[in-house]
Amino acid sequence: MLFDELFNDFFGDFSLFTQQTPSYTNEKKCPVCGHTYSDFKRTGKFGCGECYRTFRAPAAEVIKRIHSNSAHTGKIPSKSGAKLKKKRMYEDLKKQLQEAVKSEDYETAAKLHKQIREMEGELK
Amino acid sequence: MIWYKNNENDIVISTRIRLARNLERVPFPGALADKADATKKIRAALGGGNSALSRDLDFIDLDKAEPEERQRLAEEHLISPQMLNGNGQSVYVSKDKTMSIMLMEEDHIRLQVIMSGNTLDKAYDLADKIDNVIEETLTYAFDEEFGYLTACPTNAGTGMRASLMLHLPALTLTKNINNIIASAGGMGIAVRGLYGEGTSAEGNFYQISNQVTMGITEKEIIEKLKSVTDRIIDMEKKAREYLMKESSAELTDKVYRSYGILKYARKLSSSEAKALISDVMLGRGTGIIKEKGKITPVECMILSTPALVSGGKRLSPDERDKKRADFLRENI
Repeated sequence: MLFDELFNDFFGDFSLFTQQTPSYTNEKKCPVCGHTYSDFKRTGKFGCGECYRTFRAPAAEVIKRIHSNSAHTGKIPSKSGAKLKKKRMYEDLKKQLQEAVKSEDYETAAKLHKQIREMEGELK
Repeated sequence: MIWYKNNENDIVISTRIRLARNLERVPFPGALADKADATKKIRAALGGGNSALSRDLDFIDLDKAEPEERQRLAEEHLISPQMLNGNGQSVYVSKDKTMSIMLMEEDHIRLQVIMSGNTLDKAYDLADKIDNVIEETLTYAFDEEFGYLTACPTNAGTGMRASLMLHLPALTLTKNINNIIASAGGMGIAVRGLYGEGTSAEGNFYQISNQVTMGITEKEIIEKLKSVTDRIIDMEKKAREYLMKESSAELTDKVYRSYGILKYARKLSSSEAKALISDVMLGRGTGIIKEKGKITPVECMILSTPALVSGGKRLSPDERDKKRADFLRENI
């Protein structure tokens, strides 16, 4: 068993070296502005907002290198971010529910539970 | 209130919040052939109806503006230096010059609030409010994962750059400034020259701003910038105390020499004037110079920049230097 684990670990580590770094040479074009990922690499700038979605994986990598993080936690616009706003509210309610249960405030917990249920319906 | 009018500050001169925003499914200005159409859309949103916002804003088409006017707007920090030579760009400026909305810079919209002194919260609240008003009519390019989408990924996420203009003569004089720039950098805070990226720190003026815009909330950015700034202010004050204690005669001599030149010179270049005004600010801040001028040194500094001192006229550098000396002699 132990031997197997060691062996797996060995291959696990080995795979780190053999794993190919992803290449972005396939010239996929952004449907809105027509830019390719090599355009971005050349200029350091994206052509439009849609580029971020078209080249999501490499964009996330670049953003992570710049900001040490690739997930936005700040302001959400009311229109284009309406769904995200709801998601964040949902996460927040779940946290509140956990706390209510922990402090044995079952009345609040029941209310929160109901709200969460309703939101789950909306988010689907 | 125009940020430099009656500005008595001698360490934190001004606060600036800038939000970068773009229209959904419209190429960013750098990749956009027809900037006029996107500008029209934004103008309709801003000027549409008889809103309080549109009444407070003046629209300036930079393509039609004289070079002197562009220069003046840059000197007042109402447009970026990159907009001096652009095309298809325009700007909205509020009557009190607190707010400017730059169109077709690197992003479709660069909303800026600039205020006197150390007022990050207040400036952000105003920018946030205006941002909400604009968004009522326009749909921004936004992604659930990446936040506000900007031409350069260095601005993506909040799209916010919060910055303070700091006057740090004692830290510069005691040669501590490079250590501060390095340690602020380690905390994700950039320290740059007066007009931002790639510009020099003329007159001991520095811009300090957040580098990180992703994975951090607007409030967190502001808190971080505040705490770094508080430490820098504290160090600048200590460096001033040190200079007053250890080389009081030299410091007094230095600031009065500069004051003397400003009071009597007949020709002054822009960068010389900035350095001399910085000394006078240090002299006032440390209580060495008691005399007060007609207007504050900060106002003197801004109003003696090339376009502002020329008063909209096209002057030769020589004529300008004379005019600057006259202006400063009268007002410092």
